[in-house]
Amino acid sequence: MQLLDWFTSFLPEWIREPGRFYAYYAETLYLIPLFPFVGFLINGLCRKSISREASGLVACLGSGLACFWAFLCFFAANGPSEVAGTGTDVEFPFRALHAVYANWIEVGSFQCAFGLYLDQLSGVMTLVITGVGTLIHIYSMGYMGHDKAYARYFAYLNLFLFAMLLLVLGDNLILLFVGWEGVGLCSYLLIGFWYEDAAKAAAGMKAFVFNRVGDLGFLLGIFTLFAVFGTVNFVSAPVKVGTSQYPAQANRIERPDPEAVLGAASESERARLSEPKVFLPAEPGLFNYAEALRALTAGKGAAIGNIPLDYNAAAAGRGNLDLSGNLARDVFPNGTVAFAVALACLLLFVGATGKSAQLPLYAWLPDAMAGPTPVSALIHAATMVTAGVYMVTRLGAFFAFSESVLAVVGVVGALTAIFAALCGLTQTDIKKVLAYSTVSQLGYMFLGAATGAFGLAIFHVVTHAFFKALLFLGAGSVIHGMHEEQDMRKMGGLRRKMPITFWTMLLGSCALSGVPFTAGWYSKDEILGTVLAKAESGYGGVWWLLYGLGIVAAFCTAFYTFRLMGLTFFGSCRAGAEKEGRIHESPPVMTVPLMILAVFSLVGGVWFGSGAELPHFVSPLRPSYDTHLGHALNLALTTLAALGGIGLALLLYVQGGKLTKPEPEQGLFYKLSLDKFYVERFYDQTVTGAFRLGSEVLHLLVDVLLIDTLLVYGLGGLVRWIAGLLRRVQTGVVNVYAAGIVCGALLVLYKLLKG
Amino acid sequence: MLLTALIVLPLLGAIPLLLVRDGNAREIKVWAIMVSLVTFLVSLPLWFNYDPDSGELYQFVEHHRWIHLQGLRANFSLGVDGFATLLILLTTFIMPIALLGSWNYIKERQKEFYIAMLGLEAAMIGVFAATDLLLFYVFFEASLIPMYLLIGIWGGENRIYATTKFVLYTVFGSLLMFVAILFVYHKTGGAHFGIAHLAEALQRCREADPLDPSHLTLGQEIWCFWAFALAFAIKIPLFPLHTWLPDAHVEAPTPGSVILASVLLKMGGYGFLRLVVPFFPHAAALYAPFFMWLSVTGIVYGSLMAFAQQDVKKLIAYSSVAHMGTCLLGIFSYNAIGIQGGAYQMLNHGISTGALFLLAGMLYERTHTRMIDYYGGIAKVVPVMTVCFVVVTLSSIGLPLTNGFVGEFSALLGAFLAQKDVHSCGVWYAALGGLGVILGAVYMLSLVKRVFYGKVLRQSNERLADLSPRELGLLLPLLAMIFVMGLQPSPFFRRMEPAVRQFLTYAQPGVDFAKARKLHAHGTALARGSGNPDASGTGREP
Repeated sequence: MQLLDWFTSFLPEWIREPGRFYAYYAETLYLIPLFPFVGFLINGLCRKSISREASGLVACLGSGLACFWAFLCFFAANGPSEVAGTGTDVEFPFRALHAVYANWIEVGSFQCAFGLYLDQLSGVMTLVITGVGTLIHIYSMGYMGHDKAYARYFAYLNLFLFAMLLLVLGDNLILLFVGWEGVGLCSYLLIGFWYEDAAKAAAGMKAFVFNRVGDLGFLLGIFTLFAVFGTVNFVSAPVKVGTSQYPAQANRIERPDPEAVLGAASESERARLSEPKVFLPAEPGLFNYAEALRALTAGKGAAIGNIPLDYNAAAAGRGNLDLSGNLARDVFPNGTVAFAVALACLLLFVGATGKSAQLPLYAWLPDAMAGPTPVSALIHAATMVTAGVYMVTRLGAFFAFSESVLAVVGVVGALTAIFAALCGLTQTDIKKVLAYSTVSQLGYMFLGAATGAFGLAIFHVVTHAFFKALLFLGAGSVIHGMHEEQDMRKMGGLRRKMPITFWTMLLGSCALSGVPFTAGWYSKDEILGTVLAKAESGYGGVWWLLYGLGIVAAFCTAFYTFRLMGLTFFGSCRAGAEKEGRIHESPPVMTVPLMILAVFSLVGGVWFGSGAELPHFVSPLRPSYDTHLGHALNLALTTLAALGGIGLALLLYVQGGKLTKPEPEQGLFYKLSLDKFYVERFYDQTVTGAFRLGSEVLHLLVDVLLIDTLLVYGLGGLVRWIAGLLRRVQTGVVNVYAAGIVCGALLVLYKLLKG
Repeated sequence: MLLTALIVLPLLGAIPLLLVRDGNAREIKVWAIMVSLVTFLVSLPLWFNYDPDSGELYQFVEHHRWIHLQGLRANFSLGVDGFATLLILLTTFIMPIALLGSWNYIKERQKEFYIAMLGLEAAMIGVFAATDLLLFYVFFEASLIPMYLLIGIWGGENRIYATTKFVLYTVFGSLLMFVAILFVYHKTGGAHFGIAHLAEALQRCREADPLDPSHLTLGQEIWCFWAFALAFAIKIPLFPLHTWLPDAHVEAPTPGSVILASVLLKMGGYGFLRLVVPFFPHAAALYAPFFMWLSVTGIVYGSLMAFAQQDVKKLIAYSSVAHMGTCLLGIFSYNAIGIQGGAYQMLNHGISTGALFLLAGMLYERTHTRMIDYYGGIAKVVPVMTVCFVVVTLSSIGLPLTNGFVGEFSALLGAFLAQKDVHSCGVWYAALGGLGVILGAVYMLSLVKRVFYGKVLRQSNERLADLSPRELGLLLPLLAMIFVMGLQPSPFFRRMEPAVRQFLTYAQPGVDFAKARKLHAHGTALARGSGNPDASGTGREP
C-alpha cells in the first residue's frame, strides 16, 4: 500500500483525486468517444501511407486513452467531489456526469441534442468496453499482423469503439440509436472485412438486415415514448453553474407527514393526505417521468394501473406531473399510460432481439463469425451484442411497469438460451460453438433482466465480456497457431503445443460453464436464483418453466464448452503430420491479453459480485419479491448442472487424454442440432427466395403488365380508338359537311327560340 | 431583383453558347460550368439573408406587370419562403456538379446540350420562385422542354420511347391542372393569379353562402383537388403513377438523371406543399389517408421493385419512388414534424440520389454497361470510388449522422403522430412506411455487394481506373453535404418553420367533415330546387 502511495504521489492531482475536478471531467466526457474517433480518422485517411506499426499504435492509443479517460471520469463521479460553485468537497455516493455539447435535431416539438451522460450503468459499460476493447486492440496487432488491410482493420475497430461509446454514453434515446446503428455499420464492415470472399460479404449484409428489422421496432418504440412523454432525453437537462454543467436535481418527492395523516378529520381526508407529492425538475427526462409515475401510484397494486394518457397529477394537487398535453392521445385514443408504455417496451425489445441476437432474429450472429476473430471477441461477444441488454436495463424503469412485458422478455431469453445451447452441442467449427454460446448467454442476460433485478443482467454482461472475449481470443490463438484451421475435427492434442492458450482457455471454459467461484458462476447463479425466487413468489407457472429451461441450458453449456476443450486440446492431433509440425504458440502480444482476461474470468465475480455489489450499483431497481427464496436449492442445481455437463463431456471426449470415439453422426437429435433446427436454412433459402421471387413477379405483374401495358398503353389505345372513330366523320364529302352545318344551325335556332 | 437575376443568369449565359462553333468543346464546357457556378454564388444570399424570424413569409419579393388583358391578369411575381429557398439552393448547388459530371459523358452536340441544361436551370428556379400561379405553370411546363431534349437527344438506346413517355405522362397531369387553374381563377373573381391571394380567396369562396354564385362546393373543390394532385403525383412520382420514371432515368444521360432526381421530382412535393393542400384543404384532408396509404405502398413497392432490378440506374430510380413516398408521407401527416421531415427528405434525396446517379454514370463511363451483374468485386480495383459509393449508400438508407436519418426519422415520426382529425391510424403508417428502413438496406446493400464485393468477375474489370481528381472533386461537395445536413439540420428546419406554420393555417386540420358533407348535400339539394346550375360541379364565368 505504501509503495502505491509513494508511486501515486508523483502523479498530478487531476489523476490522483479526480473527484476534485468533477466539473472538468463532466465537460470533457466527450474525450472518451473522441479518442477512438481520431484514431479512426488517422487510420482511415492515411491508410495508404501509414506504416503497420504506426497504424496499430494509433488504434491502441485511441482505445487506451479512452479507457484511461473513462477511468478518470468514473472515479471523478465516484469519489468525493466539489459542490457546484462553492469550492468545498463533499462525499457523494455516485454523482453522474452530464454535459450537453451541441444542439442536433430541432423540428416541431421534437428536440434532441448531443449530450453525454455517465452514471453507474453507463460508467460500468464504458469501463468494460474500453478495457476489454483495449486488450483486443493489442491482441489484434498480433493476430492481424500479416493482413494486407491492416490500417483499414484498425480504422473500423476504432470507429466501432466510437459508436459503442456513443451508444452507452448518449444522454437520449436518439443518440443511443445513433450508436446502435453505428455499431451495426461497423459490424457490417468488419464481418465483410475480407470482402473478396462473397460469402463473407453476404454474412455482413445479413447481419445488417437482421439488425435493421429490429431497428424498425426500436424506432417505433422511440416514437411511442416520445408521443407519451414528449421527450427522448433520459434525464433532465443539466444545470449551468458558471461555465460548467451539473446534473439537474432529480425528482423531489414530498412524503406525507404521518402526524398530519393521523390527525386527519375524515377517512377521505386521510387518504388524500397520505399520498406523496412529486415535483419534477424543469425539462424532465424519461427517468423523471418513470420515477414520478411509480411514486404517485406506489402501493396501489398493479404498477401504474389504469392511469389515463392525459393524466394530470397537478390537478389533483399531487405535484407538477402533467401529461394532459401529450401527443399520444391522438395516436392511441382511449389508451392508458400503462398500455402505451408496455407497447413501447415491446417495440424496443424487438430492437433488442435484433442487436442481441435473440429468437427469432438471432440467425445473423453465427454467420458473423466470418469476420476476423478479434472482431468476434469484441463486437460479437463482449460489447455490441450486449447493447440490447444495456438498452433494456437503461429503460428498466419502464419495463418494470408491466409484468407481462417482463414475462415476454423472460420467455424469449430463456427459449434463446436453451435453443442456442442445443445448437452449440454439435457444431464442429470452433467459432460457431462460441457463437451459439454467446447467443445462449445473451438469453440468460435477458432472463436476468426479466426478473426485474436489471442489475443482474449487467453483471452477467460484465463477466461474460471477460470470459467470452477470452474464449474467442483463445480460439483465435488456436486458429492462428493452426494456420487458419477452424474445424475442431482437425485439431486435438494442442495443450502441449499451446500451453498458455490452453490454460487460459480452460479458466474461461470454467467460467462459462459456471464452475463454482469463477466469474460466470456468480452471475449465472444469481440470475437463475432470482428466477427461482420469482417463481416461488407466485408470479405464475411460466417462471418455473423458465427456471427449468435455464438449468437445462446450463447443463448443455457446460457440456459443449468442455466438448470444445476436449476436441481442441486433448487426444491426439488430427491435423495431419505436415501441418502438425507447424503448429506454434502465439506471440506475447496475443497471450498477454489472454492472461489478463483469464485473471478477470477467475476473480471478476468475487470482485464485483460478492454481496451482489455490482448489480445493485448499476441499477436502483429492485423487484418487490424476496430474491433469496430457494437459494440453496438453486445453488445445488446450478452446481450439479455445471459439474454434470463437464463430467459428461470429459467422459465422452477426454478419457485418459484420448478422444475415445468418433461422434455418432446419425440420430435425429444430432442432425437437428447440427442443422440448427432448420431455422437458418428457412431464413437463407425460403425467406430470401420468396422475397426475390416475389419482387420479380410483382415487377412483371404490376409494373410491366398492369400499369404500363393495361393502364398507360390502354389509355393511349383508347385515345387512338376514339380518334379512329372520329376520323370517319371527316369524309371529305362536301354534302355531308353541309348537312352537318344545317343540323347545327337548326339546333341553335331551336335553343334560341325556346330559351 | 435577386430572384429575377437567378432566372435570367443561366439564360444570358446560354446566349454566347449560341454564337460559338461546336468545335470549341473545352471552352463551351468551362463557360457553362462558370455560368452555373456564378448562379450558385448569386443564389447564396438566399441562404444568408432569408430571415425566418422577420415575420415576412415571402422574402426577396418582386412584382412586375406581365399579362394584363381583359379578364386575365397575371404578374411576373417572385418571392421565396423557406421551402423555396432551400429548393432553389439545391438547384443551384447541384447544377455545377451535374455539368462537371457531364465533362466526358457528352460527346456530340455539346453546345446544344449545355444550352438545354442552362435553360432547364432557369425554368427550375422559376418554378420555385414564382408566386403567381400562371407564372408557376409556365415555368413548370417550360422545364419539360429541355428535359425532353436531354433524354431524346443525348439519351441511351431507347431514348425516344422514354422521353415520349415522360412528356406525355407529365403533360397529361399538368393539362388537367391547367383547367383547374382557370376554374380557380374565375371562381375567385379573377383579380389576379397570386398564389397567396388565390388561397385566401378560395377560403372566402368556401365560406360563402351556399346560394351565392361564388360559393365553392365540396364537389368542385374535390374535382380541382384531383386535377392539381394528379399533376404533382405524377411528377413526384407517387405509386401507381411512377412508371415513367425508371424509363426516363435509364435512358437519360448522367447529368439529366441527376437533375431529374435531384430537382425535377421535388416540384411534385413542392406543389403539394404550396398549392394542393392550401388551395383545397377540405378535399386534401378527405383524401389525406388515401395519399398516406399510396405513399406507404410506394415505399414498400418501390423498394421491392428496386430489389428486382438488374440495371444500376433502374434500381436507383425505383429507390427514388420509395424515398419520395417518405416525403409525401411526412407532408400528408399534417403536423410540423412530419411536414418538415418530408421537406427535408426531399433535400436529402436531391443530395444522395444525385450522388448515386453520378456514381452510376462514372461506372458506366468506364465499362459502358449498367448491368449490375457485369460488375462484381471491383472494390479492390477502385477503392476510393467504393468508399464514396458506400458513404452515399449509407446516406440513402438513412444511417444516423447522415442527412438521410434526420429526414426519414422526422417524416416517420410525423406519420406516427399523424393528426387525429384527419387520420386514424398513424401507428400503421409509421410501421408499414418504416418497412422502407429495412428494405432500403436490403436493396442498397445488395447493390453494393453485387457491384463491389466478391472476386473480380471479369478480367476487363481488373484495370478500371479509380476516381479522377475531377470526379472526386465533384463528389466531395455532395459527401460534405451528407454529413453537414446529418449533423446540423437545425438551420434548415428553422428556415422552413414559417412556411410550415402558414401551411398548417391553410390546411385547417380541424375541419368538421360531417358538417361539410351535409352542407354539400344541402347546397346541392337547394340548387336543384331553385334550378340554379351553379352547384353541378362545373365552372362558369363569374
